[in-house]
Amino acid sequence: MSRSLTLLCCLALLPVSGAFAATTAYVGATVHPVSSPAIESATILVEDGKIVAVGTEVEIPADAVSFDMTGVHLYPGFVHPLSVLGLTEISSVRGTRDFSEIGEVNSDIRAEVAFHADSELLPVAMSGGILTAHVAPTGGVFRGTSAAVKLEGWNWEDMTMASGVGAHVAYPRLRARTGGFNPPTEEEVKERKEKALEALNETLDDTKAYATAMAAALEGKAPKPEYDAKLAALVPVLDGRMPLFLYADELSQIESALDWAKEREISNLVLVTGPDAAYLGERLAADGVRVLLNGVLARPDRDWEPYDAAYTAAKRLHEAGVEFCIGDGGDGFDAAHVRNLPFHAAMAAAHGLPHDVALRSVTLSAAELLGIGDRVGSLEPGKDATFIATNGDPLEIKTQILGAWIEGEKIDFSLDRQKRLHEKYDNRPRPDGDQPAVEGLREQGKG
Amino acid sequence: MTSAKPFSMRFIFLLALAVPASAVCGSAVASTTGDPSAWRNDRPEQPSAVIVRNATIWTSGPRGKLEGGDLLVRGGKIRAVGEGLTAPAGALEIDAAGKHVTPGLIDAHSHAAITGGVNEGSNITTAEVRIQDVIDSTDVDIYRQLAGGLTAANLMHGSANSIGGQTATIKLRWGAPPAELFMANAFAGIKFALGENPKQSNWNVDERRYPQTRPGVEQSIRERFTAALDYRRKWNEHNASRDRNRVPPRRDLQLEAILEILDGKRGIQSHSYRADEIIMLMRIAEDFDFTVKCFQHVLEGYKVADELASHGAGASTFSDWWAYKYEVIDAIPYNGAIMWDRDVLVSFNSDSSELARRMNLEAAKAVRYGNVPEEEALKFVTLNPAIQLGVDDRIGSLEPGKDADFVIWSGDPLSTYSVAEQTWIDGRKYFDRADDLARRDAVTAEREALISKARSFKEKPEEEGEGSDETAPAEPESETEPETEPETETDAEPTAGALRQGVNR
Amino acid sequence: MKCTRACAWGFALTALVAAGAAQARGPAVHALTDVRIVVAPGQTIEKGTVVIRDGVIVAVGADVAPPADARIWEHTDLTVYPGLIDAYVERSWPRKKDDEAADGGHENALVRPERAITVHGVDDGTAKKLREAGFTTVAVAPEDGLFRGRSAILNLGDGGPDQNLLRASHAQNVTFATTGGFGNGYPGSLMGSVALFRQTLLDARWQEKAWSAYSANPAQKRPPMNTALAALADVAGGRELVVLEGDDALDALRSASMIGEFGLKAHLVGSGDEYKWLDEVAAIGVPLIVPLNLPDLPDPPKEDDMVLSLEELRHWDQAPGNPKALLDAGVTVALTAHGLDDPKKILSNLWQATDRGGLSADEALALVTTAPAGLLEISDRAGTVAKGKMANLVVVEGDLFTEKPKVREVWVDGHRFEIKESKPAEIEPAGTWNLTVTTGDGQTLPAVMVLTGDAANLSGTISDPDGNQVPLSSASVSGMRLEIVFDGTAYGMPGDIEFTMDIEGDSGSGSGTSPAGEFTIKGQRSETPEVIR
Repeated sequence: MSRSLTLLCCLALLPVSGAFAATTAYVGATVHPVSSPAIESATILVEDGKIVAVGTEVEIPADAVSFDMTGVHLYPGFVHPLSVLGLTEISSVRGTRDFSEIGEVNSDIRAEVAFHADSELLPVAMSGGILTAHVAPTGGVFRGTSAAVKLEGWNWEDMTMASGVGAHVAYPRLRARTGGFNPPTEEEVKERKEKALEALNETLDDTKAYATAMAAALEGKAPKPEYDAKLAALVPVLDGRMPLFLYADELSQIESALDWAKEREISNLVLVTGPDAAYLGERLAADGVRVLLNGVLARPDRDWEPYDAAYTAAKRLHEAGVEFCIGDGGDGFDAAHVRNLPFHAAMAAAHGLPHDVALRSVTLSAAELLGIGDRVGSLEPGKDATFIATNGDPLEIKTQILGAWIEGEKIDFSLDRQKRLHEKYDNRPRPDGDQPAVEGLREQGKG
Repeated sequence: MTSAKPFSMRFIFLLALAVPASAVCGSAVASTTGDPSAWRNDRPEQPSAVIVRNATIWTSGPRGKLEGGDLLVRGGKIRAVGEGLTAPAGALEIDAAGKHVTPGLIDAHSHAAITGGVNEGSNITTAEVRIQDVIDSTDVDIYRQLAGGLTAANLMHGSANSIGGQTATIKLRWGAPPAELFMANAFAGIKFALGENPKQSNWNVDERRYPQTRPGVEQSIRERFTAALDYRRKWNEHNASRDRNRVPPRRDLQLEAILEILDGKRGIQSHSYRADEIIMLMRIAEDFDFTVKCFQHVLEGYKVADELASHGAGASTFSDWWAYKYEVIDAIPYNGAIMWDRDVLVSFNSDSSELARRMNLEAAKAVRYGNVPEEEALKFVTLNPAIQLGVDDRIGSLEPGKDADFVIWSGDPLSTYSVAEQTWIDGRKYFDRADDLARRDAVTAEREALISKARSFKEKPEEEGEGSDETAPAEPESETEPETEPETETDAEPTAGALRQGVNR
Repeated sequence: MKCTRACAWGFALTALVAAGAAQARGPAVHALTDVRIVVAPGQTIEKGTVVIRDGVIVAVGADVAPPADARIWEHTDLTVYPGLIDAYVERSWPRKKDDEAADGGHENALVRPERAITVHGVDDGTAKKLREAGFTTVAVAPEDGLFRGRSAILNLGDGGPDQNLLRASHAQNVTFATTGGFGNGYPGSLMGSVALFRQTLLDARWQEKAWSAYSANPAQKRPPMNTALAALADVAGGRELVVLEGDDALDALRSASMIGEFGLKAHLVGSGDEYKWLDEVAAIGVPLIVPLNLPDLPDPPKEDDMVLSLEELRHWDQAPGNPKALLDAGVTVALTAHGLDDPKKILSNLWQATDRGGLSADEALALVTTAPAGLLEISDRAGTVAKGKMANLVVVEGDLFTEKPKVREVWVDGHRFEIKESKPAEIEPAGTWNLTVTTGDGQTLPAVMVLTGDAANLSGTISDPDGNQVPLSSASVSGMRLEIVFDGTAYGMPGDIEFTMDIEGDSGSGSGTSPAGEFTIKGQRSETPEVIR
C-alpha cells in the first residue's frame, strides 16, 4: 500500500496536458515493450510525442525533463479492436445512439464522423488504460467503414488515426439461436439469410461493375459512370487495399462465411467472430485469415461443451497458428465497459494462452490487425508515446493504473466523471467523529 | 464421415487438456462433474471427514487469512480451521500446498436456474409469486457457476414491477431436484424495484400501466403496506370475535407476504439506482417501522452511504457497471469501496449467469477501485452476501460449525490467473476440474456414438421385415470413433437395465 | 350480412332429414369366431369365440358356440384385444362469445373449473382418429386454462355424448398455464400461475366456509358466490379428483408440492421424461398418466451435427425406456396418446417401448387397457375381453405390438367400425381454397379454407360466418382424397361438420355432412405455399 502511495504521489507531480516538454525521459521503470521482453530499470525517451529510445543505456539529453519512475511499470496503452465507443453515450437512450443505421447496404457510412470527442465514456476508458480504439458502425449487412481513434483530442478529425480501417459486413446466421429474449424463428432466420446473401452478392457484383467502369473511364476508354457512394466505398475491398471485416459467430455461419469470402475472392479478410472459430483453427491458419475474437467470457453456446470452451478459444487459435486479437463484443453496453478488455485476455491466459500472447492480444496484435501497428501497441522507438503506468501486471484486476500518456501527453484523470464523483462523495463530511477505514482510500483516482 | 470433422478436431484439443498440470493432489472422492445433464449426476458422497492441508486459507471470519493452514470438515460441517490440525482416522486428506481456500462464493443477485419467466410483470405488485416454485435445478449454468467457485445464490424475481416476487436462496447442489437446492431456512426475501424498470421507461409496451414516474412507484408501494395493515386489522377483529358463525376474511397471499415485511420476517431486496429512490424507500420503511434488508444494484449508494448505514440496509452492487441506462449515468466503480468505508454492509453481485462464474474477480475490483483490503474485498462475495441473505449462520465464512462450503483455488483467489480446482458444498465435492477435464472425452464419445446410432436407424432400409437384426443398436461407425473407448454405459444397448443404471441416483 | 350466412348454414340445411347416429341395422348379436383372443395381459386363447349381445360381451372361450341369432365374423388369422383406453384426451373448449366471468365465473379467464366437457364429448374427427389407433374409451378433459374444468369418460362410438357417456364428471383438470407473458395479463409467468393456483384453492375453501358461516347466521354481510370457486370446493377440500398435467418431470415435482400443500386427491399427467427424476417421481406416490410421446429420430443435416444437443440425443435414446423404468420403480402408470400429433403413433411407440425400452408385450397391453381402466375406475366394465364387459375390442392382423400393427376393426359397445387402411397420399393440398357449399335445398355458400403443412401432417382453418378463420379439428389425405372435420359451433350448429373432397390439381369436389344435413362442396385453390416439403 505505502509503495503504491509513493508512486501515486510521484505521478501526481508529473505535468499534465498543455505543459509537456519537447523531450521527456521516464527513468527507472520496468518497461514492457510487448514487442520484446520486459526491461528492468529502463528509460523511455520521448520527443515530440514519439518514442525515441527505450532501454537501460538511454542517453538523456541535457534539456530533457526527467521523471523518476522507479517501481513503476510502463506498458503500451491497450488497443480496443472493435467498439461503438464515442458513437453512443447511454445506449438505452435513443438520442445518444449513432452506431446503427437502418437499411441493408450502408457501405458509405463512416463511423468517425460521429465520434464524440467529449463523451463521458472516453476519460473513463483512458483511466482504465484503453488509449486507442477501433470504432465501427453496426447497422445492416454492409455496415460501413471504421476508424482507429486515439481517445484524447479536440475533435474527431484530430483524434482519428486512420480512416477506412475496414469495411464491415455482417454475414447472416444460418440457423436460429436458441435462448435469449424473443429469439427469431427458423423461418425468420432463413428469410433474413436469403435477403442478406442477396444483398451481399448483388452489392459486390455491382461494385465490381462500378470498379471496371471507373477504371475504364480513368483510362479514357469509357465515359465516367455516375458516382455511387455506396459502391465507391467498397472498391478498395475488391482489390484488397481495405480489409473486409466479416462478422460470423456460429460454426456453420463461420464456415459458410469463409466459403463465401473465398468464392468472392476477398484477399484481405478479418473474421470478427466468437469462440466457435476455435473449431476451425487449422483452416483459418491455412487460409491466413486474421481473427478478431469476441466472447472469451461468454458461456458456451451448447450445454455439452466444456464449461471453459470460450475461455480456451484464444489458446486453441494460438496453438493452431492463427493471427488474432481479443475484443469484448463491442455492443452498446460494452462501450461503457471497454476498460475490462484486458481481463478478457487475462481469462484466456488463465486457461492456457501464454501470458505474453495474452498481453499482445490486446495491444500490439490489435494494432497490427488494424493497420496501426507502426503507431501504437508496443513501446519501440518511432512509435507514438502512448503508454500507461501501473503498479503491476495490467492483466491483473488488482493492479492499478497510475497514469496514461497519449502521444507523450499526460492524460488528466481528473476529467474522468467517475473519479470526480468519487472524490466529491468520498469527501462528503462524515457523521460525527467517523474516520476513514483505510488510509489513502480517497487518494485513489487523483493520479 | 465428413460430418465428424468439428468433433475430431475438438477431440484432439480436448485430449491435449486431459492431463491437468496442477490438479490438487490426494483427492480420491468421486464427484460427478462434467456431465451437462443434472439428472445424470448422483449427489456426490460425503466423506465422514475431510482435511485440506497446507493451504492459504481465507476464512472471511475472525481467523482472517492463514498461511499454511488446515481445514477440517466432519459430517459436512466445518470442525476446525488452523495450523497442524489432527485429522480423524480415515479422513480424506487433500494436500493443498500452494493452493488457496476460500468460503464458497455467494451471488446475492441471480436469475439463473429459474424456469417459466423471471418476471411476473403483469401487475404492479405481485408479492404472492414465489421463485421457490420455479427453481430449475437442470440449468447447466449451475454447473458452470460451480466451476467458478460459486456455491450459493439468491434467485431473484425481475424488476418489472414495484413489488415483485418472493426470492429464493439456493445452494448449487448440481444433480439434486429443485426442493433440495432451496435453502428453506434462509431469511425470506422479496424483490422490490424502483426507477426506470417498474415505470417501464425502456420497454416497448402497447399498453402503459401505472406507475410511469418515480413518485408513482412510491405510492404503489405505500398503498400496499397500508392495505396489508387493513388486512391484519380485519383478521384481528375476526379472531377476537366470539361469533362462531362470523364470515371470515378472505386469505390474501399477496398481503400476507407484505405483512411479513412489516413484521420483519421477510427482507426487502430492492432493485434501485438513484440516491433519491434509495432514500425514498428507506423513509417508507421507517414510516412503517421496519428496515430495508438490502438494496440491490444501488449504484448511487455511495451518495447516500451514511444514510444507508444509519438505516441499517445492506448494499449489493455491481462492481463496475454504468452508463447502460440514464439512471446509471452516475454509477462509479468506487461505489463498493465508499459504502464499505462508511460502514455499509457491501456485497458484489452478478445479475448475470455469465458473470456469476467469476465473482472472485469481481471482488478484486474493490481492490482496484478504492483500495479495499483484499480480505475485506473477498467478503463482498462471501460473508457479506451471506449476512444480507440471512444465511450467515450457515455459510459465508470458514468457521467451526458452519456448512463445509468451500473452494480450492489454484492460486490467489483475487488473481485473474487463478481457477477454481474444487468446489465443495456440505462437505461434498460438486466440482473437480481434474475430473471435468478427464470426463470430457467420454461426453464427446457418447455424443458421437448416439449420433451414429441415430443415423443407423435413419438409414435402415424401409423394407426390412420383422426378425431381422435391424433392432440391434448400432455400434458407432469406426471413422467417427474417438481414440478412447466410449463409456460403457453409453455404448451399451439402451435396455431398461442400462437406462436405470443411467438414472440410478 | 353476418346473420345471413349463419342462418344459411344453420337453418337452410334443416330442410334435410338429420343424419342421426350411424347405428348398424339388424340384431345387435355378433360372434367373432376362429379368432385368437388376448383376454387380458398374460392371458390368451389361441383360437376361440367372442359373443356380443346388446353391446356387452356375453361369452368368451375356446369352446364357445356362437348363438343361433348371431351374425358370424369369421376372424381366422386375426387377433382380438380389449379396446384400448386413453385416460387423458384433451379437447379445446368450443368457442363461446359470452364472457364467462359475467356469468358469475372467475375474473381470471384461466380459471374455468365450472366447465364440464360432458356437453361436448369427443368430436367425430378425433373419435375417428382415436379408433384408428385402437382406442375405444377415453377420459376427455377441457384443454384451455389453468383450472380447466371437469373431464368426462366416454366410449368412442357414434351418436354423441348421450350414447357414449360412462361418467359425466371424472375429475377437475389443471395445468400451470400462463397468459403467455408480458402485456397479456396475469399470470404471465409460471410462478404467477402457481400463485394463482394457490390463491384460487384458498379462495374456494374460503367461499365454502364463508357460506357455511353465512347460512348459519344470515344477519351479516352476504359473501359473494362465485360459480368457479363453488365448482372447486370439493377439489380444495380433497374430496374430488384433480388431474394435474405437466410439461416436464420437474413440473410433476411442482405439482407434487401443491398436492402436498393442499392435501389434494390427484393423478398426474406426465411428460415422458420421468426417467430423469425417477426416484423423486416415484416418491410422489400418485398415479401417473404418461404420454408415450417418443421424440423423432434426431435428424442433423449431414455436415452439421453441432446443432444436436446431448440432452436431445440422450432423450431420443432413453425415452422408450421410460414406461418400464416407471413400472420398475413401483409407480402406478397408464399410458396416453396425449401429445402425439396422431394418436396412431402410440402403436409404433408401444413397439419401440417394448423393442428398445424393455417393456414386455403384456406390460405394454396393461398400460393401455387394465391400467387406465383402473385409474378411471371402470375395471368392472372395461379393459379386458371378458364376459360382462362392454364389447369394446380391437381386431388386428397378427400381433398388436409390432413395428407396424395392422388394425382391421374396432368394436365400440358392440358396434363394428372397419378401419380402412389410409392410402398413401397422392396430393399435397396445402394452400388457400375457395369453397362453394351447396345445401340440400340448393342454396350456395362461400367459405375460405387455408391448409398448411404436408399431406402427412396437415392442419388448417376455415372461415366462419363472421369471416374469422376457425381451426379445423382434423385434416388428412388418403390417396387423392382430402378429409376435413371441424366444429360447427361457430355456424350455430354445435357438432361436427365433415366433408371429403377429391382433388385434382387445384380443384376439387366432394360432399359432406353437418348436424343439419348433407351438402356438396366444390373447391378451387387460389394460393399455393412456396415450399411444400
